[in-house]
Amino acid sequence: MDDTAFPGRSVDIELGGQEVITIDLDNLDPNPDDVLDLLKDGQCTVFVWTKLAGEYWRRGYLEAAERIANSAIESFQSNGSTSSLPPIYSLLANIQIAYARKAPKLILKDAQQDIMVSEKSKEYYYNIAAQHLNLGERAGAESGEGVGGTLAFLTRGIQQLATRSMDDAMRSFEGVLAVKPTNLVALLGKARILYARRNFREALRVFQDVLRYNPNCTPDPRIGIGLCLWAMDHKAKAKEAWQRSLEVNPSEWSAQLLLGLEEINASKTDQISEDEKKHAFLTGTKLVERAFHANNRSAAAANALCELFLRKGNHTRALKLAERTIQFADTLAILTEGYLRAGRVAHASGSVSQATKFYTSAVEGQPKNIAGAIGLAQMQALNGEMAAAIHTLDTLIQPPNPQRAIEATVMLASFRAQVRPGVSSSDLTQEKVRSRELFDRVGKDLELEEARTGGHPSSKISHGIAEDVEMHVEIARLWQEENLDRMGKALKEALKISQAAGKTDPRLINNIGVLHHLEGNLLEAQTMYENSLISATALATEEAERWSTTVLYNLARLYEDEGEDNLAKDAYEKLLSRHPEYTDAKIRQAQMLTKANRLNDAHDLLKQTLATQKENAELRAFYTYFLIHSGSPKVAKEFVFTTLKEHDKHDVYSLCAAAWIHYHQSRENRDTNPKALEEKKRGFQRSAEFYDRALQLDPMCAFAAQGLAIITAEDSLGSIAPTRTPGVDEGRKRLQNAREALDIFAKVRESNNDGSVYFNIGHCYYARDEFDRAIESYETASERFYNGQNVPVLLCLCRSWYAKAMKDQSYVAIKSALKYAQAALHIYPNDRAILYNIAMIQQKSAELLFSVKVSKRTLTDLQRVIDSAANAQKLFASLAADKSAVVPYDREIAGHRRKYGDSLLRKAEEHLANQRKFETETQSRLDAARQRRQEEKERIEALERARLEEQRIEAEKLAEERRLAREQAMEWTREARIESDEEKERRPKKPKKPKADVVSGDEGEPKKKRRGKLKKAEPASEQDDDEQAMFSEEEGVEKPAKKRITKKRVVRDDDEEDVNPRKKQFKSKEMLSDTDEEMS
Amino acid sequence: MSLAFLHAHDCSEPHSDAVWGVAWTAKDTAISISADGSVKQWSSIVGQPHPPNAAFPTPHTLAQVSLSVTPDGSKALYNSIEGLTSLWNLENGEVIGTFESFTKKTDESEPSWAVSIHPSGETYASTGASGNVLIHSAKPESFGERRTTLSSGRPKFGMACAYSPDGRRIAMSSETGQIYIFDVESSALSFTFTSHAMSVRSLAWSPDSNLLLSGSEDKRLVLHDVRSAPGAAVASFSGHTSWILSTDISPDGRLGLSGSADKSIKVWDIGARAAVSTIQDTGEVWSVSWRPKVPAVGSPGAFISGGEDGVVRWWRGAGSGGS
Repeated sequence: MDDTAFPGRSVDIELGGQEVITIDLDNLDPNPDDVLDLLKDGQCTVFVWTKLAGEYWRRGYLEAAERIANSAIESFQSNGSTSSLPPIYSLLANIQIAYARKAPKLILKDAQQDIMVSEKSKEYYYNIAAQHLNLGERAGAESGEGVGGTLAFLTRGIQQLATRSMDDAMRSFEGVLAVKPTNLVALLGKARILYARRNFREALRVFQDVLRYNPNCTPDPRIGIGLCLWAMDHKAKAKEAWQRSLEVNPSEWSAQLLLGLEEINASKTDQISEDEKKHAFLTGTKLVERAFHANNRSAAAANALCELFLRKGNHTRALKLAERTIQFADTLAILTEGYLRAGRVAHASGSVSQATKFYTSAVEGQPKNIAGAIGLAQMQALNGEMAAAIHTLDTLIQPPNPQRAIEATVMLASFRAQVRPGVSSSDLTQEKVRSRELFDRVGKDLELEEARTGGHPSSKISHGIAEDVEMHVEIARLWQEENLDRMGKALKEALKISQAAGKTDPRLINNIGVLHHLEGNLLEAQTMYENSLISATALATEEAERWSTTVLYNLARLYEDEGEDNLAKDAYEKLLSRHPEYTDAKIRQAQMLTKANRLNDAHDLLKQTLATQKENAELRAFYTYFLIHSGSPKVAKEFVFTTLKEHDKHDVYSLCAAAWIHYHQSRENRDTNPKALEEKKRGFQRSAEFYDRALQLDPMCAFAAQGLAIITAEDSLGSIAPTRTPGVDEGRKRLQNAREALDIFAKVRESNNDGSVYFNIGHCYYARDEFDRAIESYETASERFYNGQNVPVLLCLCRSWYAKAMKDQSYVAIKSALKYAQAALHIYPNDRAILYNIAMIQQKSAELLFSVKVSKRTLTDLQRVIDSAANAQKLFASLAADKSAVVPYDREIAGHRRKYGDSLLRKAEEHLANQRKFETETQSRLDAARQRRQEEKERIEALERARLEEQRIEAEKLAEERRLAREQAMEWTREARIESDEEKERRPKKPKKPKADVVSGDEGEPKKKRRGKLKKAEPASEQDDDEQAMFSEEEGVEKPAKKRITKKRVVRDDDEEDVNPRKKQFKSKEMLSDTDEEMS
Repeated sequence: MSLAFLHAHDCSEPHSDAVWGVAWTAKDTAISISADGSVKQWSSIVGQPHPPNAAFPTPHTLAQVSLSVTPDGSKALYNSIEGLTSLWNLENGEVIGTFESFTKKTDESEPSWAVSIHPSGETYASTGASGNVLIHSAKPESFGERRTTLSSGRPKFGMACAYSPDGRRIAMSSETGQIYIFDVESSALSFTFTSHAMSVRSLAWSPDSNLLLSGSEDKRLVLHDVRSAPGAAVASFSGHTSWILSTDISPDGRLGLSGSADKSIKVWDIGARAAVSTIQDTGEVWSVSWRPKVPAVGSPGAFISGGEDGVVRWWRGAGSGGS
């Protein structure tokens, strides 16, 4: 309304008809009383009233304008000419809207700094404006002029815009524009609506239209143009627009504010130098301050300024500004910002409840505001409301409309990882999994960002997060129990960062050392531990002391693993001299004693430690272990049950130990009467129950899983059931059980890479008659884990090879069986059962070869097994005669075996004879073949010789002919020369030369040819020879295998004979040179 | 200090299974016994069968586990895994005595596990399951006949036994780590050493018969002085990371030697109590033996080793001649 152009700067009021009073509009009396009297007296038209009111308003005398308008209404109503009132009402409405502009949108009842309680809210003014509009409309309607009219529409539109009824406002403005397409007010209104609807392009166009229609239009459309350009990312142009606006209207605050904000934003980019940043920031601050002074009720300016004070630490001012922002904010974004700032101020000044309130308001307004959610979550965490904090952050990053906020994700992950009261262990595990997922996501986001920006984390936040040692340590902790690889990665990252920062945490180094240690990189581990010890000295004394104790313990463990037992012993002693109650060190000492087979010393130490540390679970577990391994399962059983009963009935280790003891007892119970069987079965059942309980408590317990698998594989529960299923079924059942157990073992192997797993897998394959795979598994166990020193594994290998030999009728396999049996006995000579097995294998090898076809065996092997079987006879005799009280085999059966051996060996001669006959025949066939080949060879050689002789004779003949021809030629030449001498005396040389050429050519060519032929012929014959030799060899190859072998053997012998003398020679040479050296 | 030992050469015809015993004789030959049941004699100079083209005793059907050679290098005594003891005349290649120790004759007889021949070659000692030492005749006409029984008093399996070079003592070690020293003349137990708590698989005397070196599954070698009070462990050598399978002392008494299941050979300076050389092999080193001839001054001497791959290897100190 105030931008209507006036033709002159005065207004004439007609009084009583003739008298005209001219009011100079440029010199209005701030007090409108005189003017009012004048107006009332003058019965002026509406135009004059509004004109004057408008003029007062323009000068800022809003109240005067309002009085004029109110008087106008009174005046017109008393005249009864209400029909001319609508413009007045519109004016009034506009005046109210103008009031509203300066009024707070929201009044904080408990504002601390910016108290507005006495003021009226925007709402109030809008309501009055609405009333006026309605009155105006009614007046218009009563007077019959209808509701129309540009003015009414515009006013309505403005009111609607102010109250954010965008669609209605749009309709109002469009209505006006339909009539007057260049109505600036309507255009500006429309542009603002378009802008609010983020239709920046259209809004820009409309703003530009406005500017074109009236370059001096206020409010300045350049502000709008700038905003649109900014939103469309033409920042420089936007800045130009605002600067231009500032030039045109130097007092206008919005341009200043916008420019100020722009400068402040610009100061935050990394592309400019520090000085430039400082400069930009200062300029920006000044502009914002000026804008705020120009309009201290602008929420945006207050907001921007608040940030400054917040940074300066001026919390009082900051809070006032924040509260102002909140109270005057006309958009949600600003409102939220205001709340956030207020929250931050409150947070910074320590009033958590206040801050919580503000943050909550912010989040309620904008549930997806990152800073708000983080702030609220922080407050909730401070208040100990972890669940609420997690919920807040979850809401932020979960759909709908999930926010990609790394910092919030990190916080959430960290919260989730924390142990909270009232959370069950299974929930906690889940939380850990979720936490890890979140950290993973963060990691990926950071990587993506890095990839996008080419190696540099784009924002400070991401950078800060990526370089957060604590975060990496936390990630490491989360992986600790499940994935050492990931843990190692996280720790190494943390170490890298902290090293780059120049301060390494000894704990970090130690942990990485532990990881290396666990992976078996002992040298790296040692370096890490030593480094850790060094950097621990930098800590405070008490801390350093605590710390170096732990590291020293780790180092001692390392020494143990390196086989440096003495160093380890010293280290443990040192530890115990400092901390006599260091149970772990004592346990290790006991373990070292146990390893050295000093069981009594170990036992004493353990008992002594237990006396003071009765409750120590580790110690109890180790003592259980010790008792079982030192062969006192009964004591162990009692001890385990005491542990379970009196200390911790959920102790997984004790449960497993109890299960094992039950299993072992039952298995060792060889009594076969029904009562004992019943007992045995119950033992197995109890064992299974204990394993089951252990698994319930720790589903990842590989030991319990393996124990159960063993029970399954052996069908310990089923096979001793009173009603046993008959043969075939039982076999199938066994296969089935083994299959099931194998599945479990395969899984166990993934988490517990230990020889026992392979050993058990071997058993399962053996039970399934898959001997090759059984052997493979046993061999892995023996070689990779037991260094070939585990007698039971060696015996299982022996058994598997033996079974394979029986199945495949394989002599090679039975030899392997014998080899493993002897290896086992060699390690543990005190086991007569192995000797029995050896005798058995010796006898069986003869039985085996006796049943094999002559062509599949050799005389040497046959002789060997017969010798073996003969030796077995002696062994069986000795075994059967053993008078020891207990023998680990059946003496009677040994006797039977011996008798059986006698009858077996009776056939030996026959077999030997057969074999000899067969081999002699084969040999003679072979000899015959060789003879034939030799003859053939000789025949061919003879032919070849004859041919060569022929060739030689031929060549001689040719040579003779050539000689004759040459002589002939010489003769001719001589004759010719005489002729030419006669003919051409003057030039004797010339003809001589060509003639000589001709002659040599004549002579040479045939020579060459012949020679060529000869040469060709010679190699050809050689080649023939070669080919023949090759051919004959090929023949040999094609002949039956037996022959080849014999031939090869012959050849090899030759070779060896060939080689040996050479070697001898060589050696003696070496010797000689050595003596030389000594002499010199 | 460290010494370097160079690989001189291998035997020309390896055994078909692990070599479980080797001995370098005074006549510069080497004897090896194997898990394949065979026994062989080699020329130490070139590593070829000695004498050339001679036939060795017929291989037994079971493994040979123990070997002992007379100081003059004229006879080799060896014993198989089940207790077949044989005496081999190295001069003419004949087996001059065999004894099936596992055939029960009296209550005291038992299968021999480890054997050791008296320096005179008149008798030999054996040990086995009873934990006693049995003295047998080593004369061809009465080979194997039991002469005496020396009781350790503890029925723990005897893993190794060895006559002292002066023939006056016998050392025996058990599966539980005790070492017993018997006086031959009085047939009495002199000392018991309890320096190990795990099986002792190998024993070696110093040339002066004063020191005894033991190698155990506890990964340590312990040096004992049999002149001093009982139980006197003079020194302990650690460094092997697995069982020690075999040990020996050099003819000058200065260097110890050990072969281990950790697949390495170590040479120890007895005076300095430290390892002076470590040789990495490819398999378990079941047996080691010094060359009995005292080396030239400044030379550390030479030794042989036998291991899992069936090969006998000759090693010589760097700087010393091959012969």
